[in-house]
Amino acid sequence: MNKEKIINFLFRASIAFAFLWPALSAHIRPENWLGYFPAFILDSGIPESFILWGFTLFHLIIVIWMITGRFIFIPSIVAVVFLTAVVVMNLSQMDVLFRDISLALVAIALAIQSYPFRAPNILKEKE
Amino acid sequence: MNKKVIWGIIIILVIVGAVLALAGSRATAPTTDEIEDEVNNQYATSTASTTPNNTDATEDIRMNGEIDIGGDIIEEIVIIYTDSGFSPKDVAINLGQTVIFRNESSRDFWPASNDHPIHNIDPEFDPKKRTPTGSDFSYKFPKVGTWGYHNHLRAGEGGTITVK
Repeated sequence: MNKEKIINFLFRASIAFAFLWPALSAHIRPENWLGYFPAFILDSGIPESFILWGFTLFHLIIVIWMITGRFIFIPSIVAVVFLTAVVVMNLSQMDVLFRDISLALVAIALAIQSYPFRAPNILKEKE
Repeated sequence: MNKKVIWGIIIILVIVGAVLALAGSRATAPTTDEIEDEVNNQYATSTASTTPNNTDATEDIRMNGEIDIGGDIIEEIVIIYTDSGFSPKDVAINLGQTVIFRNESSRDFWPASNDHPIHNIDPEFDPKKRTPTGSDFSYKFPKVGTWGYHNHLRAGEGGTITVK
């Protein structure tokens, strides 16, 4: 395995883990995660349990997509938008959310590396 | 698809399933109605024991931050939580004063110390549960300083308590 493959895997693993943990934790300590949702979602009338399951599903899609390593540009951009939105909508919690900015930068790196919709070399070689 | 990728996805799905199953088997948390009943009972007891025949006591507290009951001075600062958030958001108090967070909104709230979500700055400043509409959570700040707080259910809402 060359350096490029290792770096690509670590980038994807970092984003995948960052999205895997909330997907699980949202069902252990739901209030911890509901607190980050914007008011327009919480006030939409959708039951909290539905919101949390949607949150989990969204996160798991990103996790699985990152692991597959295919068309990484798309989940990377989605991750950047999501992480940026979390920070912008919860600026008062910057002491905790500053790491989301770092993760968003990693996702940007992944998007640049895979643009335009290029599969990582590790997969190309096998195909 | 690469076998390793498939195995990776299977392992993650198993982990997710196990954690969710574990979360589902936890002891059932009290419902909002149960919490509301409990808090209302506590509040009713507290009010009955400290408030003489003065139906405006709550208003007095809110407006003055100080009431005189049977010669004892009770100093309380009330922060009202409405659908618009906390009001006032930032409050300065003296050491020993109690801050009452009163829920006059149409939903639950959960005032607690920063930082969200672990409330590590002052772990005692945390009701550990939702505070339903019409209920209070009160806290006496034990130290001088500026203490940030937020609504655990809407982390963007919050303010500061400055204890002098």
